[in-house]
Amino acid sequence: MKKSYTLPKLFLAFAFSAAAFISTSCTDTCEQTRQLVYFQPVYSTSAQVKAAVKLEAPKEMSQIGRIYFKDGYLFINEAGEGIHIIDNRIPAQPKPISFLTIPGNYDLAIQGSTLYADSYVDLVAFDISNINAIKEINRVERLFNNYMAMGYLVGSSNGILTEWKRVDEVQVYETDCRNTYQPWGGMYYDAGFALSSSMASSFSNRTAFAPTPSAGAGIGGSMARFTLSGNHLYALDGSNLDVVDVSNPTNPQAKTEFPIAWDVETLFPYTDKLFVGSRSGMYILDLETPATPSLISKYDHVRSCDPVVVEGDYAFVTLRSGSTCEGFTNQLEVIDIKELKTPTIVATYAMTNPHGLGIDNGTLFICDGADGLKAFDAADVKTISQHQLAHFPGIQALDIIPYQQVAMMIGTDGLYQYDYSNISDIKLLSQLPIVPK
Amino acid sequence: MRTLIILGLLVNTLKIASAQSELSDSVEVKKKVEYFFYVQSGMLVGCNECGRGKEITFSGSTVHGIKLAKRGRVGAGLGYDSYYNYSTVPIFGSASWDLFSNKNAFFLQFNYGGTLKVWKYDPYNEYGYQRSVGGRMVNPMVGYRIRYHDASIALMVGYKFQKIKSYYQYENYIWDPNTQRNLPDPIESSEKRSINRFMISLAVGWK
Repeated sequence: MKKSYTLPKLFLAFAFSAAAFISTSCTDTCEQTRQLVYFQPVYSTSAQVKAAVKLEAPKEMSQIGRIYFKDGYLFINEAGEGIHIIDNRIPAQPKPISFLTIPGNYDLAIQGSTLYADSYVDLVAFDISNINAIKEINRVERLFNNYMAMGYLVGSSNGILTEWKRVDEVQVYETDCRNTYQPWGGMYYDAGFALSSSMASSFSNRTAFAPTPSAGAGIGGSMARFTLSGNHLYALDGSNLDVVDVSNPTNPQAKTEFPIAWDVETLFPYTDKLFVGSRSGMYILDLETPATPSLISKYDHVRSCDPVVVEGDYAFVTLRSGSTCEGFTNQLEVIDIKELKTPTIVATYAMTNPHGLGIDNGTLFICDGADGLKAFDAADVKTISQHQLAHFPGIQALDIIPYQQVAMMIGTDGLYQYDYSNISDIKLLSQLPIVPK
Repeated sequence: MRTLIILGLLVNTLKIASAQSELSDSVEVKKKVEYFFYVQSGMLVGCNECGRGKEITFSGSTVHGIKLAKRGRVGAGLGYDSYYNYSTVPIFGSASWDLFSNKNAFFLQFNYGGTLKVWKYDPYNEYGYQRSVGGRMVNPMVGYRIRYHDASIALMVGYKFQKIKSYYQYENYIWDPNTQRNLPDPIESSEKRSINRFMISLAVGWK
């Protein structure tokens, strides 16, 4: 009888020993997983950036930036990569002749036979006297010291920030279960930044380095960041205006840095004045002393993107809405600038989504976004909308250069050229396609 | 999937039990499969935040099933467990084996299943918390059952393991070069929590 109880007793003892052991180790364990995509900065040396500059065979256009017209040739910026050179002596038959590779190039200006282009933080001068043998002649190093990409200075002691390299990373952490740790996104000190997978999929190095939001074109046109006036080159660098003396084209000299506003976007020179478009208004600078511009006045408008052109006593400003521009207004504003210190608005006209604009001898061209290109007779600034000369719908029009009876217009799908020698019969001359990558 | 299998097992068990009940009224000779059920209530001992010492929380469940031969039992169960910051509704399959064929016997029991529902107790409105889902539940036990006619009472001790996955989303903004603005880019995170508890419970049941 006694024997029959031995096994249960042993079992009971074992069970309680096991229970005692388990009870002392009954805690939680936690593992936290965060899925992020990190982008790390890639720095290049100045020598590496310089070595990449070269003249090559023509390439397909894929993401057009600024355009510039000079002596029958079109210089079309490929955002971040360089400049397409097009023989446009016969506008009806534009012919790509070469591609000038310039890493980190988004803007250009030409004076005489010297082309000035940005290359990340440098300003580079090229001799274009022989269009088939363009060569670098000089460089102002580290001119653009406010140039930033994704919140990081492009020029730093590490070198020149030339790329954001995608590094896929999923992080797994053992935690103490007491706290969940907030994953870090956004800026990541000096090691780059992190994005969620969805945001990372649409990340583009080209746009990350673009100094201004618009991919529109300019030629000393309405959306340019570089412009020439007299013997000086003016270039926007963050919130500042850099002034470079180019009286000796082969030896450009950086002069002053003039602070304007954090939201400046475009430059337009007119006589000895410089009109600066910003998201909050239009600044008028006096260039009487070219090396040291001075502010004359500011015309305020609602927050919006606002390229500006000037002819005679009037400035023409387009305001457009959209996430890029923050505002909700789509219109053309005409501003009387006879009194430069007190610019006053004289008329506004509703538009669809106006981008760049150009004016030549009273003929006003407006790139109205998805509504295409519109041309108006602007002789009477108070009745512009009643004098539409032409409308070319079906083009996503971005910016235009009307020059010597040929209007060169950039759309998202190509470069269009129009003959406006007869303003009552504006005709399409040619189209060069853009093939998005 | 695991939950569906367990639900299927539960339904089948109830069907068999029901059939057995009908059989028992008509054909007594074939009474080989017997229905049983019990309801248990007990405590879970362990800690989420061990700095405060052990936590004692509630656990309850009911298991319904059939007896296999003299010593075996299989069934399906549904319960409610509290883990201080979390509460779960586990659904599980249950198997037990009596160690001795006595009327009153020690037995081993193994419960395995998934989680129908999870609640997170969120006193501080925890930043970024989105939701929780339950995972695997494992519950080996040993017990001693005393029977009185068709009724039984059992004391069980054992271990309970429960997985819970919680999802978090944190506000984050990133500079978007396309729009030149800071755009929301929420960062997501998940936490897999493995909960280990010592369990003591008292069960009352039928057969």
